[in-house]
Amino acid sequence: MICFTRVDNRLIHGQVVQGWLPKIKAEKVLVISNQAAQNTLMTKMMRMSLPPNYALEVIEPSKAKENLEKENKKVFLLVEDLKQLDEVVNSGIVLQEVNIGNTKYEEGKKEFSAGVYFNSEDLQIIAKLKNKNIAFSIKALPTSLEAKINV
Amino acid sequence: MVKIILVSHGNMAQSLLETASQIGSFDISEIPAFSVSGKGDLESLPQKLLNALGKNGTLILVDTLGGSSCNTAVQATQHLKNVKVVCGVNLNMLLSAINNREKMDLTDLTRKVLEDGKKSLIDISDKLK
Repeated sequence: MICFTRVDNRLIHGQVVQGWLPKIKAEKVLVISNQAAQNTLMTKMMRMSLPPNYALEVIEPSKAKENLEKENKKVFLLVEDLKQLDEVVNSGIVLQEVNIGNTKYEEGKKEFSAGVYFNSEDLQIIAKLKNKNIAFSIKALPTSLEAKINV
Repeated sequence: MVKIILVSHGNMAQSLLETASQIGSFDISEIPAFSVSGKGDLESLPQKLLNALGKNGTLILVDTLGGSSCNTAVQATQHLKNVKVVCGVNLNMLLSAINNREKMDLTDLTRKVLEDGKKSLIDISDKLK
């Protein structure tokens, strides 16, 4: 069961471990990242920084549905970027709310909030997912002011 | 001399360096201090680190285990032999690194900095009871 979904290109890092996990009753963090799923060093580092009472799995978006269907634990779904989130939703995972924490900065992207940058492709994905009744909230931390996206 | 580099969230690296310069005697320009919090900072960090490496080993001191500062520093330097990343930097650790960087090699310096860092955590109120 998914109890929280966040898009964050930094994956498991300070804001997630110190800011969000204490506020959410998750038992497991499921990281969705093509990059990290192939990178044992990244996975090792994430395991070291995640408190030991949380389970951790790092998988590609294409494996999300199969993984979540057999999962009994309460899952904090942590997705690297909007493209991979879109892939997860397309595979048949139903989401109601998505928190956007950090996205990768690249030339030509517009800043929506500290650490959150979108290009037109990102905004298209957000608009598409909004039409599937997914609500977005841009917030680095639970106590941050929410930034608005009008798409 | 072992090169020292600081990496943190926010202004901690820069501020820690400035604070250390009020206590220890060293040239502040010898120690690069990078943040991962500004626009594009995280993306440009790997290259900045590679450009800043020293010839006789580099000790990268980062703020916290599992932070983007630590994760990125580890990944950017994972294949380099003469680089070490230590997390949990505090003022005593930085001063220890600065004061010993000329007389120790990277391995000994790392050990010394960790030792001094651990020694610096004291419940002084309890000690004075």
